[in-house]
Amino acid sequence: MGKSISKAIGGLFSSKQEEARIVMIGLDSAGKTTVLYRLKLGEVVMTTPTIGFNVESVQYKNVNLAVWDLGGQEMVRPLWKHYYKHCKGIILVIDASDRNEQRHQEIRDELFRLAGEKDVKNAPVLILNNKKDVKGSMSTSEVTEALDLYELQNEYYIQNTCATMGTGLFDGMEWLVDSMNLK
Amino acid sequence: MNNSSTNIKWVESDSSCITDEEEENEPTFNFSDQIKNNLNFFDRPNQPITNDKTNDENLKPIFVYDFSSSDSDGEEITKEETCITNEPNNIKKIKYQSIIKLINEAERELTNSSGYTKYLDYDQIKSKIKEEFGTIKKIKRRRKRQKKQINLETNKWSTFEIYSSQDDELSEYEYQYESINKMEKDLQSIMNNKIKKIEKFGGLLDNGDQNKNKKELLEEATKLFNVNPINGINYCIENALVKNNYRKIANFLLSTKCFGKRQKGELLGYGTEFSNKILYSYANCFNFKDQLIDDSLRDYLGSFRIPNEAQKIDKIMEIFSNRYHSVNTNFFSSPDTVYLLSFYIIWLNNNLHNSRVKIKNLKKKFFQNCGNIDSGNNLSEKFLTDLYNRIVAKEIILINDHGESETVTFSNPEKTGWLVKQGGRVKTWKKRWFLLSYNRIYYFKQEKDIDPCGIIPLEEVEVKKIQSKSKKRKFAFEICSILGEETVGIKFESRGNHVAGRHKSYIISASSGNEMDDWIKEIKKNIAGGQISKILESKKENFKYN
Repeated sequence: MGKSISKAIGGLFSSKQEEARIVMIGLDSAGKTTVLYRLKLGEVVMTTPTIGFNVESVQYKNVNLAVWDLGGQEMVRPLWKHYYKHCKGIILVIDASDRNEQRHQEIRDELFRLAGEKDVKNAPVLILNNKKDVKGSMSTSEVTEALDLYELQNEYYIQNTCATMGTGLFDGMEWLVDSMNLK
Repeated sequence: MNNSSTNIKWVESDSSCITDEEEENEPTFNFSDQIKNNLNFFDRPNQPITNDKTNDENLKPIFVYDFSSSDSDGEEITKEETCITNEPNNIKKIKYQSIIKLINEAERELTNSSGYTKYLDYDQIKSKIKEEFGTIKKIKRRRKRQKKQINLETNKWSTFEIYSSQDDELSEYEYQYESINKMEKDLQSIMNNKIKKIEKFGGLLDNGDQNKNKKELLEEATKLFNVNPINGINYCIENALVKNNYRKIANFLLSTKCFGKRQKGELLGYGTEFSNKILYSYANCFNFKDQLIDDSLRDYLGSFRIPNEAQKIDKIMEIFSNRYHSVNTNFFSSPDTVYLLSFYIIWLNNNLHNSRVKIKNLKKKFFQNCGNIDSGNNLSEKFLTDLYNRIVAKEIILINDHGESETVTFSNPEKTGWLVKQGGRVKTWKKRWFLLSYNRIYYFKQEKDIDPCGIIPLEEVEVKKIQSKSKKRKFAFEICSILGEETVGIKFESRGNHVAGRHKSYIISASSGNEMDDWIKEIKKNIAGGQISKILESKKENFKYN
């Protein structure tokens, strides 16, 4: 009885909030996990108690973002396509200090493959140019060049960040939430 | 040890300076020998001291103990003294600074190699040397009163000289030789002790210090491990709790129950070569022979908390699949199949049992995914259906033994059990899993919960039985503040924030009289010795004086 009442009350209060699924992609050691936990700043970091992959629900303004951390070898790629469904936004984390062409190719393929999916056609892409604090890191224009972003159909925005310090992250999120066209 | 140069300089009055620079390759301290070699003219105390390089027969050797060349006062004194001696026919300067330098260098070398400095104290060595030189100084004063005294500042390392007159030259030498020799021996014994300690720290000696037995070391290691697993495991290696061997470390990790499983997972998924090798050996500790893949996964993932990062899961699964395939070669065509299947099982587990995930048609998707992963062949539908049903029926979870929890404080709890607690604001009774550890009581909604829903610090509190009106809560006891204020407590809200509890006092009820007595006994033992009141009192006193 008490449970159902509290549920009902909780429902009342949470009705204002909107739920949006966001996927986060990026190569290994680009700083995805750091970004994820930075976004959860101010809250006790609680990883999912279930054995499995990182899923964090991040409260930003009154939008509840479910952020998925996708990764792994080539072989498991087909698995991730389930997550793209109803996905409202994409966060791409790249390592600005990594100027390896091959890696750029990899991440570009990944991005375009994802952007080509039917479900994410209109999803805005937030590109976090992470590790900007490292000397000699790429500028936003260099990133555009390296990832051929002008070919990207989706709306995108490049934000310089330093996830370990938390700089730039929330500006990026601001943009993403604003451009997601939530009902 | 690289070049530890022994700059024992012998300065001749004829200004011929012999510098002794030798290379020491071993970290053994034979500086004593070197000094003895250099002092070998002392070995003939009955003969007049001669030096081949000087022709003068009437030598007046002077020892200069130079402790700090940077000390300007000391240098002045040297000059002054040299002037007074007028004819220093044979001045032997022994730079004791170099000895100290040597010791310091050696120590630094050793400390660098093991990374621990806490057992070293330079003061001990220095005071020892000071003590010895103090004695020399005294003798010096008594014998050479006619000469100007050495201005050795007791608190400062400064330069001073020891003179010798012709008449008691030999005895003086003998004395000094003995004295120096003694000092060397003492220094060496100090150093040897230190080396032993350092070596023990470095895990070179198998026998642990008797004062610190294995259990204590393990406790210390557990604390370290649960904060930073890499540090913890290094500590274990250094203290010879485990040999520096990947297989041994893996076994040790598997068998040591007090280590946090989350931290174990952190270590195994760390991604460095070291951790990958441990992970490889760790997977090899399991015998998956003739086991179903999901059962094997349950065993494997039950023993440590797998990190949630996809890349780390990837690595851990890859090593698992190699191991699984190597013992069960005929189950699947290749390790890749096992890898994919296990990855999908984890994915399935995540989707089925994580409340944050909502994916429709999961079964269909799982089947689609697993369709042709076995090198093009289809896995039998029955196998997949059974597998799916088993995962649905039973989540793959961390096997959490009682008393072994994931955070630092929850390892080795004093007492655990189900109790009923009265609410703070709303006076309802709620069943909670209680855990008593390190002067704190934690309570959880569920036994296997990671995060407690509340903490009661056992400071400034007393525990007593209370007479409860209700028959149902007969065996109740109360934890209340002795300061007559609200009992301090922390409550966790669902979003992870923690707020102050609303309890005036905690009323907790056990299911039987014995259980209640046990709890009261344990809690009494764990009440911290009034730290807050001590601080308060001291502050009050300060306040009075001011």
